[in-house]
Amino acid sequence: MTAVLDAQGLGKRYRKQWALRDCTLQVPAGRVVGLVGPNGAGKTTLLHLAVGLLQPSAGSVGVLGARPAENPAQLGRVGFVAQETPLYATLSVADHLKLGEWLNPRWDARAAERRIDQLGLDRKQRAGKLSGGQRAQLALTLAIAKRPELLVLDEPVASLDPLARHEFLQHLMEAVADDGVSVVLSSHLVSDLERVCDYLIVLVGSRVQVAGDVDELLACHHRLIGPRRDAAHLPSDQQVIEASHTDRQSTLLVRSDGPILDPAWTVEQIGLEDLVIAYMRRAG
Amino acid sequence: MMRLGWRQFRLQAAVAFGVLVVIAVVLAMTRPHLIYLYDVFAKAQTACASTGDCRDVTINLSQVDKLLELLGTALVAVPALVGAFWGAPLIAREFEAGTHRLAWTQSVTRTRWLASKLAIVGAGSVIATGLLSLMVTWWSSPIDRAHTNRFGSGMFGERNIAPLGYAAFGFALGVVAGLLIRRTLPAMATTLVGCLGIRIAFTYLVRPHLLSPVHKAVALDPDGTGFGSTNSGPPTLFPNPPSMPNAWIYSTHIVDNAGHGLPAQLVASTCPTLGTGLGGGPPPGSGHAVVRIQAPAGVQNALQECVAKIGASYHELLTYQPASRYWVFQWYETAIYVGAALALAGFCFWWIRGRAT
Amino acid sequence: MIEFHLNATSGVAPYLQLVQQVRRALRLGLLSEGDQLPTVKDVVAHLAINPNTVLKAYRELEHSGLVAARAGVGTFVTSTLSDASLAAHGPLRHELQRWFAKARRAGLDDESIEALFQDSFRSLSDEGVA
Repeated sequence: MTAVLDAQGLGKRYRKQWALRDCTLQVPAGRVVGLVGPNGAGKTTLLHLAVGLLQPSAGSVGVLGARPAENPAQLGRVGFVAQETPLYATLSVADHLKLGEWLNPRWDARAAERRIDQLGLDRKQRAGKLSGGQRAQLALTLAIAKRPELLVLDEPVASLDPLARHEFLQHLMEAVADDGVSVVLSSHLVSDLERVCDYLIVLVGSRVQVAGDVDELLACHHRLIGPRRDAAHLPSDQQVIEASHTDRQSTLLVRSDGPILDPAWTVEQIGLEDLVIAYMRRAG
Repeated sequence: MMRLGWRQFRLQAAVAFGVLVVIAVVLAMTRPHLIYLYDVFAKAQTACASTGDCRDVTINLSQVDKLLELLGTALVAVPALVGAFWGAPLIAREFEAGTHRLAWTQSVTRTRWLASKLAIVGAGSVIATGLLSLMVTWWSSPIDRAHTNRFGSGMFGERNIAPLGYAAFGFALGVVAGLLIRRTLPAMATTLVGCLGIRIAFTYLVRPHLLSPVHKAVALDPDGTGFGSTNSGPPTLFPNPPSMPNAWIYSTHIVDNAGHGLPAQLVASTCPTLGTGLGGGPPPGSGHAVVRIQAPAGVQNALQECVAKIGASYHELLTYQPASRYWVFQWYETAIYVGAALALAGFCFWWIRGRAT
Repeated sequence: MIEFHLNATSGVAPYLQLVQQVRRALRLGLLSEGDQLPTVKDVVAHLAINPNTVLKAYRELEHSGLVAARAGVGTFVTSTLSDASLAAHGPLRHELQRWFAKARRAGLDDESIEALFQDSFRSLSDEGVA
């Protein structure tokens, strides 16, 4: 199956600083991918490279089997909503729909109109006067109505109130259920992603720390609690992500494909947020 | 994409159209009066030509003077304004608002996006300026007919097709400024300064060299030669250039057959009486100006005798562009500005493809 | 048609919560044979969760033989969990309510009632009865 995003040693440099480095990913199609990491970790850089707004300084990136923004057909296969959902403040909602229609040959006008009605947006309202939630919904409508195979969203719910956030994700998930479109969305909050993502990429310090299916990641990471022990003495197939010790007790976060057989350990499941935090701490 | 480009430009086009309509109305209303004034002037001139004394025949332009000034300023300013208000924000505003990230991820390439915007707003700029130039040229035709100085003076850039070239260039300069500076207000300021500077530089440094000027020898005219001094130098003769309607006169010098200039000492030795009777040298505080002194009748005769004596071996050398070259210069200058505009546009395409966001 | 809800803090995986809610509905007779489960799109639009989660839950129910998917139409209940014992629910519920009232009168608070119930139930299951 073609990966929806295929990066090989991808890197981007601004003058002396590397905003993204050694990024190698193969994201399968049909997933909702969460890209999580602190601010300045390189999430926006990675997404901009994926949609052709930036050129790589090192390595390569392929989206849906082709180079990003290579030609109008390729541009039409990817829908993008940038951070802060940029819209033309002086153009109305109806104007933006026309914009979508004029600039996209695969535009689904009826679906777009239906969605605008469902959202209860006033067509004559200027985009500059819409609320944050309404702008995000309009931007999402524009991205979905061009019938892309991949949707890329850069921190789409970061500045939305809980209700607007919920409604945005409802809209997004409906589109996934309807069209089977793949989604990559970034956030610096794990809670935003937990409900909707089934593939996770953790980006810290301009590098990918961990990437994989959420179910698989949760299944192969365990919290081990037991009497104080040096982490280096564990079997080689168990990779220690994080270790903390008191004078009597050790708590380890371990990645292991096989079962933990040592009876001295109490083995616990770990939640997604704790997993991400552990990797973020490890990188920082 | 063209439709979107037009939609974004609609308001500015409407404003420009409104302004042009207002100007057209004002010009149409004032032109009959202008024609009347010049008619009277022409009649008075033919009348005085027979009597020989035309010094008091002038045209009372006070009513239309202000309008004339305004129009002149407008045509000089419009290309720079078009560059600053239509060219600079074209791309800078998209960068500032981040909307380029919306536009560049639809299904049109950046090249097509840029081409549409440049075509629509560029065409609008050139057309608007062209219409303005057309109206002003039409309206000023009586003035130009009477004064016949459209080639040499600053009016060269305010008539016919030259403003079209300036508009294209001003627009392109604005777009490049917006593209590189990425902020609307600094880009606008840079465009205004850049347009002004380049126009001035071109007018004084390039235009005189577009074609080699013609040199013509003319006999010294006793009636048309004055006496005075400049820059507090020694007094010498100053020839008035002959009447050459619509020609562009670079300079006039008094030279002998070998091309040497007229030394002031020769004037003093040939015409020793000339300096006297006038209270010595130029009046104090005359500074850099050429001081022409209206001399009493007796001194006039002495001056004419002096000129006749000197005219035996000296003549006036005229350096000028003949009136017939006016349109050649208009086309050359327009072509150069348009060529520069196209080069700037080409730069924009190259920049936007390689560099990004 | 039943409606799903999710408890984010329960520690139970979302897809399992959906499975449990279907099973409970079946047990209580809220769903019977031939009823249609909510479409994936409707669940997703309501709860804002990944469609794959819903698909996984429905697949598991299908695997347990409780539902069957009909292509293009939806997912339908094929068997119930209530069977004949549903009839006994009414009187059993009555008895439980009487017992709860007695426990209250004896001075037990909610936590104690629940602890007593869980403990008795567990030891009952351990003995292998029923």
